[in-house]
Amino acid sequence: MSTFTAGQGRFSSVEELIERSSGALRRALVVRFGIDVGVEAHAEVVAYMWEHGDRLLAMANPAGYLFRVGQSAARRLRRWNRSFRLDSDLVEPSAGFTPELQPALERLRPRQRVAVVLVHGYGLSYGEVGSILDVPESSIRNDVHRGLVSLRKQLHKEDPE
Amino acid sequence: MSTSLEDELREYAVTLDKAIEQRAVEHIWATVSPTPRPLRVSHRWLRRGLAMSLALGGLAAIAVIIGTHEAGGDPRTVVNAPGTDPTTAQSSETGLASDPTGPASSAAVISGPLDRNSTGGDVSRLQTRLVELHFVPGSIDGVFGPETEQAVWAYKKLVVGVSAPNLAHAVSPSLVTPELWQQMQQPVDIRPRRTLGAGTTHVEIYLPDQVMAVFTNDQPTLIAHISSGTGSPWCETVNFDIDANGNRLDPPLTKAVCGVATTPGGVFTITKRAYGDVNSSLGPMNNPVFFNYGIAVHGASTVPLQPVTHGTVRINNAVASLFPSLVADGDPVYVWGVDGRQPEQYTKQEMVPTFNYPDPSATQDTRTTQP
Repeated sequence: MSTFTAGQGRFSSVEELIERSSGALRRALVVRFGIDVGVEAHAEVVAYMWEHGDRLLAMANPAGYLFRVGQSAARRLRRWNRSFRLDSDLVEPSAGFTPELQPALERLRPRQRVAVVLVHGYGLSYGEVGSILDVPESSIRNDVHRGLVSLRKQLHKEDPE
Repeated sequence: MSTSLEDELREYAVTLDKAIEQRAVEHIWATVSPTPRPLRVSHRWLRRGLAMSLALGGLAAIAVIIGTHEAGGDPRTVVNAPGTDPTTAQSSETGLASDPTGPASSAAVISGPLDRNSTGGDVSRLQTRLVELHFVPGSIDGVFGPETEQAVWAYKKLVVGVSAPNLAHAVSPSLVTPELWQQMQQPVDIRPRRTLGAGTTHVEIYLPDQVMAVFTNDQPTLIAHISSGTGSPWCETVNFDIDANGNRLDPPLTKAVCGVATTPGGVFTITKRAYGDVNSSLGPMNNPVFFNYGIAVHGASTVPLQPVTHGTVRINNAVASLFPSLVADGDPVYVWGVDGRQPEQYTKQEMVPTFNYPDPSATQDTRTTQP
């Protein structure tokens, strides 16, 4: 087994930056832009991390900056297709969720969709999602609440309260 | 009783992750095995060519540079056959006056063949001559060890023209016969495949030959045998024993990761370096000099005749103690890819290394890793 140690200049921290934030960034980009574009945009984000690691490490919120880098990449990648659509043959409905959930998510506003899936799907905190999208925590709470209300309406679900 | 929306979102997230992993693997394979592209001049190269031509002063230089990069193929590293006059030898580009290495300082014949583990004065003479030719046999100590062996390999591949696969399958790849020794006494003129002119330093890495050469003012300063990426996919367990803040993780964090061990071709520049033994997440590197994101030229304890790395370029530690001082950050690195294309023919996407991704099957693998 090999070990990972720091102290040899900044490059080891770049690896750690990538290791720590790359997963959440990829999920966020996929939920925002769809699987194909999201995965490709994320690849560009990781490349960007390598190239500009030193500058990123000095920032207060590198995750937010990197999400915007991914956003620019995604816009370049999907010039003509402006609608979010998760590739339906890749996402196979399992017993765990209703088949209508995915189309319902696709109909949400982008930021609500990202907030709802990252918070309730992946268990990120409001603060973490706020960092990635570079908005205050209170905005994320709002987005989650409104997103859930909209989803329940679409899926004809009762509010558990 | 229907499940709550939150539960469904959690299930959805699990399914989405699987779909993401599958798509990510497909994306990696798409970049690793590109469809063949027609021969063309990349814009970046043309800009550099124009900049160089302005420095060299004239449109004639543009014509020469473009002329040598057309469909006729890549100019082979021109090396004089023994006995020919270097000044009349075929020349692929204009450039500086050639400065071939002179005849050997000690032209004595050797008494018998030399091979790995040979010792004695003949080995010292061999090592001295290898140094004169800009190969790096380690210290001149009269012992035919691994560094001397690799210098002989590099000489056989680049000067004699033995292909890397043939050398790897040879019965005695390190054997130096009296005839080979005679050939080594002749002057040799090793030309770069890309000429950048006076005041420049650049690196050329020939992956099909598993050889690297450094040129300053278009003259060779170092030639080394290398081992680069296997080209195969891999999955291994990697240990992180400190977190991002440098605090010890106890027990260490273990992650199963996968990747594809390619060393991409292309035109790069040296970005940064580190000194001493550096522990990357895939194992130790000695004096790494980075030129393509996480891919570096670095020293390692074994540099076999086959490509064995995860994508980095291995040299032995003797070469690694010398190489960083010969190159500066910003110097160009030309990599001829394993598929035989010229460096300028790789697209930006093809040049980017394949980054690791979490192992979808998360199997535990305790193999020792080395970059």
